[in-house]
Amino acid sequence: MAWRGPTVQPSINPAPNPVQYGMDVSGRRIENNRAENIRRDTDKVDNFSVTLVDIDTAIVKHLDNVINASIIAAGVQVKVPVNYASPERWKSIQSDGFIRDKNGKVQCPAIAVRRSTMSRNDNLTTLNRYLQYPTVKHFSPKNQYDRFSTMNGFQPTKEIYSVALPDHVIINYDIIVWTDLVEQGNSVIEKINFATEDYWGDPERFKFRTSISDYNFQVEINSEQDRMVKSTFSMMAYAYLLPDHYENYKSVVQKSFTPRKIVFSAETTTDNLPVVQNAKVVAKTTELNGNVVPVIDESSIYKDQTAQPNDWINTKVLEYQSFITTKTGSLVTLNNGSGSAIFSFASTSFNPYGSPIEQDLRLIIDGLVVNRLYLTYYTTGSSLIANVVVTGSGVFPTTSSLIVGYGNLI
Amino acid sequence: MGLKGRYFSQRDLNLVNSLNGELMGNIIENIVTMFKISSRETQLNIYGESSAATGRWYQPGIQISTLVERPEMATEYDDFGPSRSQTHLFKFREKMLQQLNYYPEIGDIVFWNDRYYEVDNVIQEQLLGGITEKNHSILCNAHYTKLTSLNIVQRN
Repeated sequence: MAWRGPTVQPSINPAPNPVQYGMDVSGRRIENNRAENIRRDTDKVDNFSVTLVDIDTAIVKHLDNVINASIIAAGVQVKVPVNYASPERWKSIQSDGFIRDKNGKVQCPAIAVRRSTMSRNDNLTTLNRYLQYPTVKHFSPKNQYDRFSTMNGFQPTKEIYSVALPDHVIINYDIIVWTDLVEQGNSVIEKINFATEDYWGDPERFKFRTSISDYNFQVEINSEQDRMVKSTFSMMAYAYLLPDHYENYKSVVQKSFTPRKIVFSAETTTDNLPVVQNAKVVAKTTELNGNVVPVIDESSIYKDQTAQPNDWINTKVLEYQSFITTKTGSLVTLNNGSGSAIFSFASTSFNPYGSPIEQDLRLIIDGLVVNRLYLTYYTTGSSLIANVVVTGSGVFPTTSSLIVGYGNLI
Repeated sequence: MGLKGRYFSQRDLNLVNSLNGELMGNIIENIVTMFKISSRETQLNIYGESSAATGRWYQPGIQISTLVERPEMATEYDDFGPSRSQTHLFKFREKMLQQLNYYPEIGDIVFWNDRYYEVDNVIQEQLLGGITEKNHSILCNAHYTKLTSLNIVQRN
């Protein structure tokens, strides 16, 4: 070994360390939510991903195995081998011997595939990567020792597997077909052209729609080189990408459980509140629109020298909390055709006291909160009717579902 | 049946090989270690690359005496800063390679002077008397390669 400078540490010139360690071995504290620490090595649902390798494999394997182009050379049918362009040197010589002679010269015919560009598919955009598609497994091993017929207020827990929505992309492939004769190139291009505008890939795995707009044909005769017939075209694959992890640790398929029992309690936290000494809440009642409702004496909430007697927000928070109640509802109609469900809360209406902001209903179906975009509600007579657009809402109401309304109800 | 051709008879070839074998093996003593990829253990992906999960696997290295043509190391500057590059020409006696049952191919790795070189080209054209059966040497053009692509040296 040649001299590399002084050998006394640390002057020695070490070999570079090509290993970059991740954040998990650093001293940085990683926030951990124990509710998300759900064991995944015992369930049968694998993590899911669609990668560029999957898409490239689908295209190359479809060309090689399904289209299976062949030519006639001197009366003999010869399969056209398909390879991804520019493989490693040793693989070209020592593994792909069948497309070369014994001295290493490439023989015709051959097809080479290369991924050239990738762009976002603006026609199929996902709003954001936090959107997830939940699928519910109604049986869970957690229920196998429970007798729900004798348990009051408990529901069987369900397993929810939420899959993040993929990014839709358009991937362009440059494909080159080499043949000795134009006639041989024609037969290959004819087969490929007939197969496009269709889904390419392995039926057991992924299939992606492909499209080819135009083909280029060249016959090259250069001095000191063989005559070569080259047909090239660019093919678009409408694909989608879904990494197996994102944001450092989140799995694309996230598992969760529906709650067995729902217990509501109301808590408020506020910052920068003055120190309250000798605070006293004076409960009063008054009659408003024929109903007896409690009223909080605003001036009695903060009774110290630093309190703000007109602190509207803090007063309203406490006021709102005093009226929060929950009601159990029932399913009236479930229309699977239009994807809608109607729920009724008997003898329930909004508390007439207060501003409109307090007339807010949160609907919980089997532990899943219904997004406000899918929920409309109104009062009729002495009943509160809630209408849910089920399709796309992420909830799955059934006749046995636990329906809970949460809000300023009486 | 002897080799054809009036010149370079079998006795002449034996003499040339004997002299050159002694010169290269006992006097010059430039020894390189050749690694050939084991294509049975090395898994491939769709791109014609060795799988990232397994890396490349090699057959045990073979030490061979050689003559080395070695141009100077060059330094190239690009977006990553300075980087070194070098090409070498390794010359082997075909008779010795036959005895070792080793034929160099493109993609083989040569270890010499504390560096690894990947073979780019194999030349087998030193035909004594122009007779194809009387080739004397096998030349390998090779370039200085990265450690990260080899899977020979353990990463620290």
